[in-house]
Amino acid sequence: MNGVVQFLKGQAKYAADAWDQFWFTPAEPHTMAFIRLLSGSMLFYTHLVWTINLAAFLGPNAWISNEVSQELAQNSYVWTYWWWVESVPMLWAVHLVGLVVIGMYAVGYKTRITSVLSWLIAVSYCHRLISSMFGLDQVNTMCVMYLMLCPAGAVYSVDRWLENRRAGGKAPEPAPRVSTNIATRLLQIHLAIVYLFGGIGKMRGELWWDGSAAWYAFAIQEYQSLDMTWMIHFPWLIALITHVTVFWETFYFALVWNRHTRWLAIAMAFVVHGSIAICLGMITFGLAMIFVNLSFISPPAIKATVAWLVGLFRPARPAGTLANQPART
Amino acid sequence: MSKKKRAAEKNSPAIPPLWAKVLISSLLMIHLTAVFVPPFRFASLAGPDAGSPVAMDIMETLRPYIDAAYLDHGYFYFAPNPGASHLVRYEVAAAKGQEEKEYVFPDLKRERPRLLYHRHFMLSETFHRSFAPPQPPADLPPAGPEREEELTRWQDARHRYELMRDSIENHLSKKYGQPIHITRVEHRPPSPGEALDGMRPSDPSLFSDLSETEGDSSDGALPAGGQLAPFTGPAPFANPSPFSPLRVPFNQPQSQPAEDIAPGVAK
Repeated sequence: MNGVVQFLKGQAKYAADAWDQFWFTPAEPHTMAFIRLLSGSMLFYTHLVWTINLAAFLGPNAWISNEVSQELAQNSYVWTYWWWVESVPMLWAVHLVGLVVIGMYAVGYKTRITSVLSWLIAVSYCHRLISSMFGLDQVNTMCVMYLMLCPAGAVYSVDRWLENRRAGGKAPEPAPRVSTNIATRLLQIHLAIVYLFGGIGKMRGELWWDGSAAWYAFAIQEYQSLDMTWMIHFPWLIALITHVTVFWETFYFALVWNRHTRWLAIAMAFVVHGSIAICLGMITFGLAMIFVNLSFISPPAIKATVAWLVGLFRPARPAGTLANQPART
Repeated sequence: MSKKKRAAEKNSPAIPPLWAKVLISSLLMIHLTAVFVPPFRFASLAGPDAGSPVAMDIMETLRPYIDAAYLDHGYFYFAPNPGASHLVRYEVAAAKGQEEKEYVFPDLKRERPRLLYHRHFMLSETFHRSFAPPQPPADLPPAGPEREEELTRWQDARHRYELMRDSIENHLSKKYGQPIHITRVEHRPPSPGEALDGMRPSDPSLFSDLSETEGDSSDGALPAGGQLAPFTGPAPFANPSPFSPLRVPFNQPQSQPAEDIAPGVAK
């Protein structure tokens, strides 16, 4: 009996330690800050596009009017500040303020405040314009929801630039934070859930089993941005794409958490979402999904990649320039 | 406290105390449940209100948070099968001596950039998905609470459809300064066999007008055959939000009609 108790105690301690390590190990901010830069820019673009047809979607005679939107949302806990915006001048003022806030968040200015405001703004648009929403909006709100929980402006941001300037260029490296790790974990788990149910959903369709689903996706004219119908002459290829997509999505969570197969899961994400972006006309959605997949890349790897990218664009100094400079006195 | 000490403290990792870890862990579990349950409930749906009681009950408990945080999604991208697209067509009477003009949305030529086109596409899809026929379902159960429940559900669905239709027509009428009536159009992709015979996705025979009076339509179904399921499900906000490509296409192959997956629910 004592042995069983000891065993259970040991297992409980093991689980508690694993939980503690998984959630409460401080993490550096580089991965989440890089995702903020990319997904924040996407969030800004997403909202900028509403500007083109603002009155048609949010004005007094919108496609789905304010009144209808409210009636459709009855018996739910959906909310949006747009229900209180009625006049056209007010509509523009509120929209432009929203754009400024999201722009500040994207570049990382006052990030702790603007990230929370950006989430509120993004969810407000989603709830008001529910009839025109799709996967992109889910990914956008998912990113900003978790990025607002951590210091996502600690690096690659205006905040960082200002801090550095105030410290005379000697601002210390931001410390690893538990909140950064929690936000990263939440983003990773949420993404794994998205793929899991994407895969489960497909497993219920017979076209995903008989290998023809990829054909039907390519043949929907409304999605087409690149004509892939030539593939009809390669049924084996169509079937392969169909089956690989289902299995990759369903088992993404297992592949991505194993360090030996992580590269495969992420590489597949780049291929699948890149194809969606190029062939199925959803560049924004494809890119947004790729950005979220970066959450599985470690901060040091992101740091090194960004440094390399910056090096590529920084004008090279002539050899010996520094050495030839006279010492400052 | 000196400036240096403050800076050092700011830049050293702070580990929360045990009580804070317990509190944070509890909140994390609640949040992750709220993320997991909506697609789980959606996948378990066998009818408008019939699904796993586990999923349904947890969903209802967490409903305020799920709704408020915009977490009510099914994530069924192009699932269970990729299906037909749904467009909206309308005619605008022209000035004297000119011909009537016909428009369709979404329209890539008029809606740029691509994201704006996609917004119109989602609008036409959501509008189509909300369709409920003007008459109650023919297979209503005999008198009793079940019948009342189904009738109320149909009335609600029909009301929501009419709200959306009237709103879209009102928008277009104000835009063109004349009464506009809209028609739902289905555009199915060609089957592999048809494509091998040379049919293009733009072939006019792949487009069909959808009936406003009937819940079912055999027009425009996938080549394998299928039924156009009437929307008699809960309000759009009571389910995973309607969007595409996250959608259960209305046209299922005969071996797996939409009703088998979620009777009366098309998402």
